[in-house]
Amino acid sequence: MSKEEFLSQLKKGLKKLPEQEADDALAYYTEYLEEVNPENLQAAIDTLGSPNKIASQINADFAVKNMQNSPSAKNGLSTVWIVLLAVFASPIAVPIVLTVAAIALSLIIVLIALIVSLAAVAVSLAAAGIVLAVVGVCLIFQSLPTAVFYFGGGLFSFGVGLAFIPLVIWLSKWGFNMIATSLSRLLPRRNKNEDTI
Amino acid sequence: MVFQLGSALLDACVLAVLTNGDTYGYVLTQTVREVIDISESTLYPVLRRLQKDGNLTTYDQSFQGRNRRYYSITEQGRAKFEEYAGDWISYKSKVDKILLGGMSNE
Repeated sequence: MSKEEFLSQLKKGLKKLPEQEADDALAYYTEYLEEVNPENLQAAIDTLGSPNKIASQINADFAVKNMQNSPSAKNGLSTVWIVLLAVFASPIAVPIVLTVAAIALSLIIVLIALIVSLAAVAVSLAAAGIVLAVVGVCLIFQSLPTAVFYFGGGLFSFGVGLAFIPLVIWLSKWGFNMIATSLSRLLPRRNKNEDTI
Repeated sequence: MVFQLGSALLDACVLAVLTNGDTYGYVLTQTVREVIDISESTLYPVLRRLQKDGNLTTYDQSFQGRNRRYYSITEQGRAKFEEYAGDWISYKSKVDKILLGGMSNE
């Protein structure tokens, strides 16, 4: 691979990054290769390794940092994906990578299932609450105690349903982040304090 | 070398090199590579992170018509380095005690 090919592949791999980030990375590798003696250039390019791998590592680093700064379900989910790509590109044994991918995928599915079912519970409790309250209002001239019972039960159910909503929001905001963050620990030399010696 | 080097040690080495003066990417990589067996492409993310955390700054200088980006350690970076160095000394003496102490007792 020539220097030009290396750099253009790297550029392609980084095109999803903000321009400043991509330019910085590209400038670093351009400068690096310019410093190498022309006769050692080929060897230097070979030891740098695949530009796609370098790009995916840089992408993953950026995505994790970005997600930690502005957590949201969308950022979290896309970070899981980007980090997963980087894990695939990193020098980890294939069976381990497949296992990791399978675990990550099942965690995502479980999380989505959890979010959907909690949301369904919230909606149905709230809906049932409204129905009960309406029934209660309709019964008011037949039997006051029954009406009050239905109305109160309805309000209670409605309230419990609403109480589920923050839980659903919290889960979708942080669940994917947690998956992405733990996944990124697998990447080589991702620095967090957990591997201080 | 058989011993695995964590990223904290890599950070510490980069900061250590920079306490001896500013330098640019290529030289920095080669210097660190004299002690730690890392791939050439590993250092960019490390430098980037150290820069974002405020431990080093960069400036550009032209050399023979092309650009060299110099890395310079900040006050915060120096403090971080001192911390690393302190941790390293206590860690090293503990390991020495077991590894080398074991040898002399035989």
